[in-house]
Amino acid sequence: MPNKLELEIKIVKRFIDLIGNKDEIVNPLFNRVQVYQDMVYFRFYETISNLLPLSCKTISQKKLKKWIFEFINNKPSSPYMWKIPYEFSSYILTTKKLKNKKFLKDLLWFEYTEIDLRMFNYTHKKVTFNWDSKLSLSPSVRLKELNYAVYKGDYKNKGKYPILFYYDFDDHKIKFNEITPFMYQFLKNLGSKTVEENVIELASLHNIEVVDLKEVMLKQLKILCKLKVLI
Amino acid sequence: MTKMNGIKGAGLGFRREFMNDINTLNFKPNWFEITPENWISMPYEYRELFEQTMEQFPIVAHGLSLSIGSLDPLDMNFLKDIKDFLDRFKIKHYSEHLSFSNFLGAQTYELLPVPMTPKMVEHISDKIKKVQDYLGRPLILENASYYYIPYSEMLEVDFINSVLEKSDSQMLLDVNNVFVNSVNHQFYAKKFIKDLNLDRVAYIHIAGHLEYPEEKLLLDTHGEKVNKQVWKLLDYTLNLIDVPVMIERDNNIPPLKKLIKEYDQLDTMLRAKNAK
Repeated sequence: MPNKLELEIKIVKRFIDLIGNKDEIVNPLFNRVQVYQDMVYFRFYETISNLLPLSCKTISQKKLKKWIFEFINNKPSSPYMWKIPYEFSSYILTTKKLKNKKFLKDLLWFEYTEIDLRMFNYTHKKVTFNWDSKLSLSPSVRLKELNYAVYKGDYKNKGKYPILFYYDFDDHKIKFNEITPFMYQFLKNLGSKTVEENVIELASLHNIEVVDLKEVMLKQLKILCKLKVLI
Repeated sequence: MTKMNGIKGAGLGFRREFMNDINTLNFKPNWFEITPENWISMPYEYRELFEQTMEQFPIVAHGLSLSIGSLDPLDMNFLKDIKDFLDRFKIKHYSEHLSFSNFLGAQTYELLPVPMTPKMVEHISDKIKKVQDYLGRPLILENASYYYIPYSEMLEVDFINSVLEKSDSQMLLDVNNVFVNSVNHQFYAKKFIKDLNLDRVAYIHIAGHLEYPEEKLLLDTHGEKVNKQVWKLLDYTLNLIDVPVMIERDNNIPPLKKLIKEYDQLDTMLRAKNAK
């Protein structure tokens, strides 16, 4: 059955195709489609370059423009503009080889995670540290082992860089701590067991005395509870 | 009779940039207009102050992403977000744009002009009815600014009137948009306003625009102060209808002190009209 809006669909499709075309339109004075082409492009460009500034600095302007136009034509789907950086990052990481920019995966993650943490609707929960409690990571936290220390501007040396990214409720800033691989593993294992059970497991794995390990970790864990990193 | 319960006189667009100064300057506008898409998810640090403001002032929600003129079906997840937001803050009035911003699921984040055909009137009206039923509120639709007409079988004013009539919805008359369109597309702004079904106008927007003389183009930027000619057109409109009016400022936002001056100008104008 023919669609009763067949003509309108054709017209809108043509219009959208023109807007998403990165080639400049001849004689824009008489072709106002250029106004829409510019407005849509700059809406994306402004949002992406403001919210992913470090990543954008590592990409040439020419390439960035090309990628943004490709992204515009690749159906950005969220009705919320603040989600553009996340969708753009996913698009880049799934479609580009990034041979000379392997660090970009970490850098994009680093930048959009900051937005993600800033926009989250947190509910506070006061936690007092206890070895017998089953603590877990708060939604105000992201734990990740990066391949590049992009947070220090090091885009060259590949390695293992575990970090803890968190929302600081005192000054409303997003902060990060470099953590030891040991702490990374501990935090990753949290959830189903008590803190003490986790420490015992880790001590046995690394052949360390439980008492010694508890002594070392106590102060750090108390701080993490205070920061609402652990809940 | 007013269509806007609790909303009277002059209002101002609520912006994150000056939210901290509202109490400091003891600024008490008659009402604020907010953009739900900017607050459905918001930076956590603003939440408390935002909630306070919502309780303190009468509010109208003015959306951006409904895309009522789109050929795509309604995004029900998005509509649920809107309904939850309106219900949570007890906001009775919700306005949007008579335009589209997505096609085949792809967002453009711009307000794009729809083909003006009788079939589009039917299509958009059906969608409006669904939105109104779902939200349990009338939808107030704004005449958009446009720089290009993709296709048209009818005059803009007839298109708007038909949609409002067919869907039994209300209108947000953006006087600046009428002015900008009248210059860009060479028609008489006053006649356009007079030909609208003014009984359906719920409230009015005014805003600033930018002039590009070389391109013979006005751009509806919401980033400048309201132009003198727009004030004049507002004055003309207010001789025809008595509805609330608000100033939209979305870009290049000055300190609140400066905006208050413009707000006061509007407030004085509306009070003088009412006194007559």
